[in-house]
Amino acid sequence: MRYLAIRLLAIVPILFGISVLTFLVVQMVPGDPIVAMIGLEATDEAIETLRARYGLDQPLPVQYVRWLGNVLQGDLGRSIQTGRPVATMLGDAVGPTVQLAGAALVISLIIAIPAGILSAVRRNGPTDFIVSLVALFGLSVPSFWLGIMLILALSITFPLFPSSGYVPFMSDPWGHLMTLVLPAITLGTSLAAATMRMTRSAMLEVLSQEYIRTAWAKGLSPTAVITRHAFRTALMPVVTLLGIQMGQVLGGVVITETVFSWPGIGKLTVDAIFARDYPVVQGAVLMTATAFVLINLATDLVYALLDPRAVESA
Amino acid sequence: MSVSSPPAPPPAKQRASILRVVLRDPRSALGLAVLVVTALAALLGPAIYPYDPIKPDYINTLAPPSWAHPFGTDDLGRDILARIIAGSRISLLVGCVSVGSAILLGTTVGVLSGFYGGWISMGLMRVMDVLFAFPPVLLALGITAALGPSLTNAMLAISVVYLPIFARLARAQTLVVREQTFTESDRAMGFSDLAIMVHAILPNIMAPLIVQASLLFGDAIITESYLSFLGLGTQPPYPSWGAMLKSAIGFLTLAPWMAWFPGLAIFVAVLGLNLVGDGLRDRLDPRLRKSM
Repeated sequence: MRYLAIRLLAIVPILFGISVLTFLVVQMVPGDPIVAMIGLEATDEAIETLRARYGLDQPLPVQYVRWLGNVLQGDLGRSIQTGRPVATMLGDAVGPTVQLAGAALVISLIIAIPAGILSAVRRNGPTDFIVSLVALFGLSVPSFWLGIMLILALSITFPLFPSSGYVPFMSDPWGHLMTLVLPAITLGTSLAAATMRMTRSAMLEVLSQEYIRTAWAKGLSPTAVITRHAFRTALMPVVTLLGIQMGQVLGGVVITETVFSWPGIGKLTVDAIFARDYPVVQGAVLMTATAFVLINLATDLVYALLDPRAVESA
Repeated sequence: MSVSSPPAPPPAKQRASILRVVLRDPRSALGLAVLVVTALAALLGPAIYPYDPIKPDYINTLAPPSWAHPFGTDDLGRDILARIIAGSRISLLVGCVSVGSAILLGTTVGVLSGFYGGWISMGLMRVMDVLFAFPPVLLALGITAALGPSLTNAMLAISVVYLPIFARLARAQTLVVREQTFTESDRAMGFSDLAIMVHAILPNIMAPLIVQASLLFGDAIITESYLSFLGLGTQPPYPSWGAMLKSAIGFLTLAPWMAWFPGLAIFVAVLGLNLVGDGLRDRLDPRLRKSM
């Protein structure tokens, strides 16, 4: 409980810092958002009126406090481009992003965990070599290029999957799954590569420990030794890695969603950047960074649950 | 430097041996070979290869790979191999500048903070924590969006992303080295703080920093290609690999080679860097070496 309280308190200054930085970054943007909004031919008077209405005539700290106050009440402002509340736009985009990230994570785990275990158990054999090579390739391939190659091969040359677009699950479940395949593989590949490596090295370390030798000596079956004894311990560093990887996922969705026109947070962010729709950029960055911090907190707590020793040393 | 320097402790031979470490490991040697070829292409390629990477040639648009144009031409008739060669200069520049400035500034912050502690350095490290709390690509994206799209701003953004990584690593290492006997004895002998930091601490914390830098170099190349792909990095007509892929998107059915080769170039360069980085990590990072 004390550990939980300490961890929760520790993220407060981080979240505060994130909000300050997000606010400042958008302030740094060259050009006047009001002019961007109503056009260059606007009269000075009209510009001043709007500036006052949006509170942009106030000093920066006042603007920040006002903005933060609104944010804490769930009000992220309105989109300059569409006039819709930013919170609503983010809410609409969260679903597709969570689906994509979730599917990518599932794909990566299904591939990476068995491959990593196999590679460690058959250390230095041909399986190990191939798995390590595939992992190295997966880490080095730029994900958006992989996405483009998948589109070339599986939507253009052999039209098996759609190259873009999004079909809501409720209206067409099968069509939805089909649109999800390529982006999820694109995003999942580099994750799988890193997880594979981490599983392998964690397993290698565990397999050399005494209690594993004892388990073998007791005459347990290889499956029992590897899955029940070794893998449970090897899972610890893998869990930590998964938390770190969520940062990669939240950045990766920006690129993947752009390539596949997937209507999630990432595409919303990029579109808003090019439309100079700053309230949306601000809201999307703030939300993504906050989500990342909370996911890392959750990872630490899961870790503490799995290994109480980590709590004592912290 | 006018400060008298204390005798450099154990890893005096380390600098000379990094190259030997790389060459002795077959993986790293292969990676280094890839990097040497990339660097040579970047340095000599534009002088040897006959095509102009920027000037349009409207007679030869979207030509498939052939003897005249091994990688084909793009929508403006420019030779893709020429553009990839020119793009390798941009990628190497991005890696050197962004990782280089991040390691310089980050190590300075980390060592000072680890050595002195105190109010200011704690404040600096909290700023690093906040930077570290952003998903990396998102932070780079936000900074380039705020500063305006350009290669310089992309490099600046990438180095800001890496800054906290080096600062944290350098600080953690400094905290360990600071307590060791050779640092203590240097202090007892009356050497200045600066002399101790430069001659006792820096050489002993370099190994993990170098490993990290070699792995981030490839990451920097990929991140720049992301930013350019989104239109926030290198601007046309200059041929960054990511920007080439951006323009390829419109011609996937007509001219798929426009998409094949720039991505392949990124892949090969990053693979080379990862091979070297892996080899260095296995040899130089003692904690990992034990578990290997």
